[in-house]
Amino acid sequence: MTLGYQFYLVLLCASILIGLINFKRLTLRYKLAFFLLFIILATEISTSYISSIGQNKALIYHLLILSQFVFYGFYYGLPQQNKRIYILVFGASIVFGVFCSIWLQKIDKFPSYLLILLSLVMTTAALFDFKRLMYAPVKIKLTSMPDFWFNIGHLVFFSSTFFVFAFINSVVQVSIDWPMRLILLANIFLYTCYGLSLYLDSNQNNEYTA
Amino acid sequence: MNIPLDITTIEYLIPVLSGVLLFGLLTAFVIYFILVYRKTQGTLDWERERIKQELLRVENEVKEQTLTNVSRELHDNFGQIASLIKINLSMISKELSAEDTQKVSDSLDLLKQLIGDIKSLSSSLNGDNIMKNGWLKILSEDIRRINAIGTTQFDFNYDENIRLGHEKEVILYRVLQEIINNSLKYAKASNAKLGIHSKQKRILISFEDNGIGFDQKTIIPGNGLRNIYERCKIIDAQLDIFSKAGQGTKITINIAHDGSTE
Repeated sequence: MTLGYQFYLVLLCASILIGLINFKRLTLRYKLAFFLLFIILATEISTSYISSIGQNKALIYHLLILSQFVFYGFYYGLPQQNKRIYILVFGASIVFGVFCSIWLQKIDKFPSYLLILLSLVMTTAALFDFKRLMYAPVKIKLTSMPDFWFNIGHLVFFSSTFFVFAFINSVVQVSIDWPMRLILLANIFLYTCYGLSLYLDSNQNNEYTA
Repeated sequence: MNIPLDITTIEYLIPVLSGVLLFGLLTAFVIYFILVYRKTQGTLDWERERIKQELLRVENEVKEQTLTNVSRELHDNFGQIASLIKINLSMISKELSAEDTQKVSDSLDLLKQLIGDIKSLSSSLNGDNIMKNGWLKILSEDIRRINAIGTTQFDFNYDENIRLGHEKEVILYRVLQEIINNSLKYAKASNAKLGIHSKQKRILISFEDNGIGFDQKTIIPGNGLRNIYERCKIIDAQLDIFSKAGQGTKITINIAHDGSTE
């Protein structure tokens, strides 16, 4: 376990701790995000164990991706007037994920089409949420808004993931190190933003978030 | 496995350049979003302030209309009834004994005073009167009446013929009424000075009393003080209040006057 990976796990646990301490004051969206963090931590623990016994951990990651579609679908759909489009996109992604895992690719293959799809959908959802923030400005500073940091984290992480795994076949011929380092850095940035969002959400009056 | 880096390898350059482009675009997007959001926030704040000012203006107009209606009622109904009482008393006084005649005469004097006070109050409540007679004249009559009571002596100095237009005059008059009333109610002052002067396209109003003052940091503004702030905001007047416990109160109002009376 590298130092970077350990630091990433510490950040994840710190975000969970912030959410736990402030759970009662969190809005529904950030309670969902908090539960997802638990699932991610459980995934990391189980994949570490599976790796240690020399087995393929791709199945666990695929299950994580499916649960991420569910949680993020609720997160981005909740503040919208027209929730149908979000149900449609995220629902279709889950159906595609199951279809892909059974018929298109082997369940133990990583990276998979499902991961690329998640990155694409999440980057788009983050951009649309920025648009929602733009059309409904509120009095408080932008950098004090949890939605801002949450979407920045998603934008950076999922666009990096999409980029790395889109070029993975070319890159691995030269080096496998820097793409993995980039993913790790993106993870560290993501969970820093998650922790910050949970903290800011617990301190807000909740009058502008769903 | 790490293969020694060959930077001329196009297959390696494409991902690197794409990565640089991607992060450049992300950074540009975030900066653009922050700038546009701040601009939208500024516009929203301006709109909110404008609507708030408009609401204050409408509220003020409604209050003035109510006061005008009360003024008419006072003049038409109460004033009339008091006059009728005076006439009746004058008629019966001819048939009474000397002692009773004296009592009736005293009552007639009180009624005259009452009729005069009703007329003055009616006049001060009616915003149209302020326009017709001038706010300074109405104000000096109010102060003359207050000085006659004797609790606080007001020294009123003003430049003649300062006219500001109906809305500003009515609002300033109401503000000064509120200031004077607050001083009479709370300050326990023996003397107070009110000055209204014109200087370099600005009207300077200063009020000062030698009362008990108040602690500006701890006091919670009541309706009167809030009305003063809100009314000054409507007419873009700069209001400054200085007070300390035991050291009296000083209030200055500074308003631009370009000579227009609209």
